[in-house]
Amino acid sequence: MAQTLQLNKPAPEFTLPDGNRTKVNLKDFRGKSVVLAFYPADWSPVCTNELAIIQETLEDIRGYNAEVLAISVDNVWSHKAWAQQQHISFPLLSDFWPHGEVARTYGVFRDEDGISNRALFFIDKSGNLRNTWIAENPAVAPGINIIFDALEVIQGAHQTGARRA
Amino acid sequence: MIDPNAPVTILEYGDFECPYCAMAAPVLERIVVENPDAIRLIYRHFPVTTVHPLSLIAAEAAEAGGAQGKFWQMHNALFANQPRFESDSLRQLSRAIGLDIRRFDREMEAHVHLQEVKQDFRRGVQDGVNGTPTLLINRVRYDGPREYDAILSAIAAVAGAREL
Repeated sequence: MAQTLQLNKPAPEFTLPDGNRTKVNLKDFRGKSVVLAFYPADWSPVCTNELAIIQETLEDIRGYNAEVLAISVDNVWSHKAWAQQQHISFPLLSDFWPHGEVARTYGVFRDEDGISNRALFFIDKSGNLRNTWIAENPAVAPGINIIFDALEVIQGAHQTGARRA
Repeated sequence: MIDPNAPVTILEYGDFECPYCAMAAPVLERIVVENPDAIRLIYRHFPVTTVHPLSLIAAEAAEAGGAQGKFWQMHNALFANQPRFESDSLRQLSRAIGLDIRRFDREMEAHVHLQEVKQDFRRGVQDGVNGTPTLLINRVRYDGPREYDAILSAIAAVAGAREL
């Protein structure tokens, strides 16, 4: 469960395939911040939804030396088709099998309907979990400011560290 | 009833190519028309161009209408004609609402209003937009149904007004 994940401790590692069936490892992103965005489902009936707005602001997010990894329990073929339709260029990772295993590890799997809750996990360049946002209602997406506010804090801490070094 | 002494501002971040924004537009208009002294509506642009490639030019067209005092007419015309926002269609709309077409053309070609639109988008990021439309009632994001009764109840709650 999420409460067993501790802030400022290493975020759980995982390897999942993206929509091109390329294996993506969390640890490959050391040196960058990672925004881990769990979401319930591809093709969900929202107009311009959470991921579209992340895509629209992706260059600004990358300006914080950060990458976005989105995760749902959909299979790789669904991810590929949805990414094409929505023009999503960041990885959509498939937590399909073992079903929802990474979502369970992060404490956001929903046993009642077999999907992931909507949640954000912010991981710093050393791989430590720095902040989380977990939806009270999975139908309500996080404000995009939550991502920028969290990255601002992480980057500020990095800068402080750099000055000390 | 909404207390006229406690005016409420609905701030909308919208995208002219978004069908949910088009559906919300007449609902919001009715709420404002019925409560002209108590509720005001501010529309800001949040064009999500990766999924709505013509939303940016449509937002510029709305501002070009605004520059001639006809923002809301253009806003309504855009939502009513969604999603036909090619350049010729926008010119037709601007003619239909009585804009000076030469000035409209000039401003569109020079992207005179692009920075205003981008500024709105940046404010939307800061204000926590989480989809389109995003509605804020007195600066607090409203995530409920975008239906007349639901929005009016939320406004009444924010305004602290007594419901009849």
